Amino acid sequence: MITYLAGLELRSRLRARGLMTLGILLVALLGLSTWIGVQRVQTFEAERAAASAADRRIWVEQGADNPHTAAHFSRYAFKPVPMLGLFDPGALDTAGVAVWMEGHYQDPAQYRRIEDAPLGLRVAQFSPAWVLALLGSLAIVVALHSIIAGEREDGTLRQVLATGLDPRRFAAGKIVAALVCAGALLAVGLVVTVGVASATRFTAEPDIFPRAVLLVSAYALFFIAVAAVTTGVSALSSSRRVALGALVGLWAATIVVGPYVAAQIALKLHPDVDGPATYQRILEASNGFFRDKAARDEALKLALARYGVQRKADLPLRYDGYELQYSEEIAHPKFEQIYGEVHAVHDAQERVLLTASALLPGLSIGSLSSALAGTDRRHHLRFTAAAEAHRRKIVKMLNDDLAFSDLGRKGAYTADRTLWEQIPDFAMAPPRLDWGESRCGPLFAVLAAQVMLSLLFAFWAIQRAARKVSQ
Amino acid sequence: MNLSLVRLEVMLLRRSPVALAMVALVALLCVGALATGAADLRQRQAANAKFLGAASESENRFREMLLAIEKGEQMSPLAGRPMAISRSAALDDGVLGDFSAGAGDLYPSRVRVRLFENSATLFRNYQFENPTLLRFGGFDMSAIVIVLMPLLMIALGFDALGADRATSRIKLTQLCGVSEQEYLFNRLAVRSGALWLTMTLVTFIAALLNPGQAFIGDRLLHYVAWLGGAVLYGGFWFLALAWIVRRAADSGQAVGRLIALWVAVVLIAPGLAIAAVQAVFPTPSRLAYLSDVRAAASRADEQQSAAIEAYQVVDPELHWNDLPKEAPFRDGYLRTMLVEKATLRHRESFERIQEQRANALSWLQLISPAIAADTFLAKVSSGDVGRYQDFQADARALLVTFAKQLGHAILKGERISVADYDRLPAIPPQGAPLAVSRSVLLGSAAILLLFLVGIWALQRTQGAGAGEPRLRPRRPGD
Repeated sequence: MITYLAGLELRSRLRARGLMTLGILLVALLGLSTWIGVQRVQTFEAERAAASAADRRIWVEQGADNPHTAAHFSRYAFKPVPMLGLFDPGALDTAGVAVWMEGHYQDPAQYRRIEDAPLGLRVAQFSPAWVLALLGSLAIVVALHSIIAGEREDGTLRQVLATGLDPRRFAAGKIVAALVCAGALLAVGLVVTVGVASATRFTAEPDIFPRAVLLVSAYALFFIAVAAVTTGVSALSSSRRVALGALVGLWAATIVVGPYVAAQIALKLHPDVDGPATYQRILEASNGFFRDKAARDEALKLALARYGVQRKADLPLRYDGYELQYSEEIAHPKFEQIYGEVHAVHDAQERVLLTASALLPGLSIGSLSSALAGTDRRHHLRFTAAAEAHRRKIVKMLNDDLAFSDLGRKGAYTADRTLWEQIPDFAMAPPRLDWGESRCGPLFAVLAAQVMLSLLFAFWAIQRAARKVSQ
Repeated sequence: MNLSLVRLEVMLLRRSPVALAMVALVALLCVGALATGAADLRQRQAANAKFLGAASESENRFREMLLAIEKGEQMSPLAGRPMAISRSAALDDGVLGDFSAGAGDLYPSRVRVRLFENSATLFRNYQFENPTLLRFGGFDMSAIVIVLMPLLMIALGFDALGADRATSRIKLTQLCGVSEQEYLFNRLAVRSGALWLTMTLVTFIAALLNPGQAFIGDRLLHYVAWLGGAVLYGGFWFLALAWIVRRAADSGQAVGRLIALWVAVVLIAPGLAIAAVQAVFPTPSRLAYLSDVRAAASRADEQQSAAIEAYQVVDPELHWNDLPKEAPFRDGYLRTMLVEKATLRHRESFERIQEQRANALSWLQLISPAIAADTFLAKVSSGDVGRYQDFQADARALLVTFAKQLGHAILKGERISVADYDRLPAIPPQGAPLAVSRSVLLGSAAILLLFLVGIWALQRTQGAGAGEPRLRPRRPGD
């Protein structure tokens, strides 16, 4: 009976001309947004590869120079673009793509692509994830708003229940139909996205397949939640008009406007730090040492004690290099503190978003989608942390070279290509799916809870409607 | 306007908890957006004042140093050198700064111009914002007007006719001599009017009571312009609402079509416009620019003699042999100039693309009133991207001026006089939008007006739709 009811319902949806038009429009937008995503990711990757190659060439060919001057010139770390960025760009455009690994300072990532965006309307972000979350959910609302309300308005609900049909089976049939609609939308979305993306060549990350499977699962859960809530609201509504009005209002509040208001509240509760003032603190963290005579004397004392000599001239090293490395190392905890404060503000902001996402499925799917695509802030932090670790490594190599190489040489010490070639290029392994910081688990839990609650709501609402009609 | 209908509708509105909740929501969101805007503005102004205070202190110290040198006091050979000259500036917030978060969270608004920096390094290391929240942008008055107000108008107005038609009440109304169109317009005017009146009241109070550092007359003038743009956009939605509601067979169909229109106008059209502009006019690679900056900086030491030769073309009196061997900071100056020269092509390309994109977008406003409204409201409230780009361009232009006015002295290892120092220019203030961006504002307003006229013509010619019940014409003998 459940299958029969579901089949009947689906046939009636397929006959609706408006829904078919909506479906075609959705497919076209998905195809177009995927194609745009592919072009963007390919361009970003080509730019990154070219910049990395140029950075190495410029570094190696810089000519003979003092290693400390070279540390000031230093190298750049460029952020790799994950393939799934074509599906959900997440924070790809709003986070910097290059970190200057210069001596003395831990710089923030620079060159945010959004700064080249031509229009201020950030609500309009054209990507497959955006199309699915915003327009896919709206399509489900439009397709299913009359699923129960229409039966009730036309009087057929009373007729159906008068045949002695168990209201629970009736509810199950309607919900199965709703889920099949949601599944069909997702399947079409998947086919279009994969079809367009596979027409181009990519070097995919090793765990692309499980990530894609989880992405499909996440959107399936999201659509199930939307379909179930739509069915439930339809059951509670006296007519199609009331159902559609209520559902569209709910959609606008929870999918479109809600996330923006939540973001604003997060910013209000935990304001961002002042950028230039924060960078001034970073400069002070490093430069302070060189202005502090007592600290410099202390560093010298430690060096003399370490090497068991009385005079600076007796040190078995070039003291400039030693002192520069000493200043680097005492600045590290200060940088960690400053960036720790910045990240603590961002974490607090995102906790607000996570809390709000319990009520706003648009927010929960957005966060989960970008986390699975590898384009969220946590993935960006993984890149900046790797860049900082690499910076420390190469600056130490340069300072050590200045301190310990060619000590017998007279005059100013310079290093050459031999040293520059020893400095490793920045490389970062792609994050594994089971990476502990990804936060996918809690986000999946929120989405799963939303699905459970919305299914329970739909069952309750349908049974209530059936009871009321039977009375 | 039919006063009886208006009075009836106002009474119905006052008794509807949903309608009252929506009016309260508009008031709440407007107050929230304006209060947040004002708080952000104060915070920015305080940070700017601190930055400019420190910069002014440093510039005064430099001037005193020059004065001391002119008086013949002994100073370090490195003191008072033109390379150390700097001019700092902070982008002012505009007279309606609290109305628009705009692009303020993305772009730097403070700069210190000096010849140790090149165009690529003038603005850097300011990117500490949370990238997750940057995706959303600020929820300001522009967002409320463009995104939310049409939705609330739809929510309050989509069934303005449906129920009356379904129950045939509309026939009774028509028998009283009120046409369906008049009936609908009066109902929608009250329902939408309640929302817009609330928004206008809150924004007017904010414009009046919270002028900040702006002159109140100037602020009110900009506010009137802002409100004019918002009302044109609201007018489009009012007429669209009337047209669709009148043509739809029932309320369900009306809300479906209205939401489809909202999605198309507010979400899809701007999304497609942005994607199209980015695809047709791609920005040159920032990373390639960076590589060129670094390559030029790396080669600078080898190319110094070539740079001096280039200088001789501009200044025939300057000869390599006449230059002192040790001129303080000459290497740094030449490095900056060589980098600027090597990357000129990139910068010109960026500027050309920005111009082409702005031109394309001015045409693309024709595909959606949301784009035109965003352009207008952002521009008049000083939250537009162009304003920040202009600030950056002004800073780069000042760098070029510094190079022209100070280059000779730096190369020859000379200092400049206090009088010359005082004559050095600074970054000019951006100017009020109504004074400097009149043509852009008029263009966007004209496009909004065009949409308004278009939808008005549509609803005049095709207003009566399938859902409209027509009274049987009276026949003789009836």
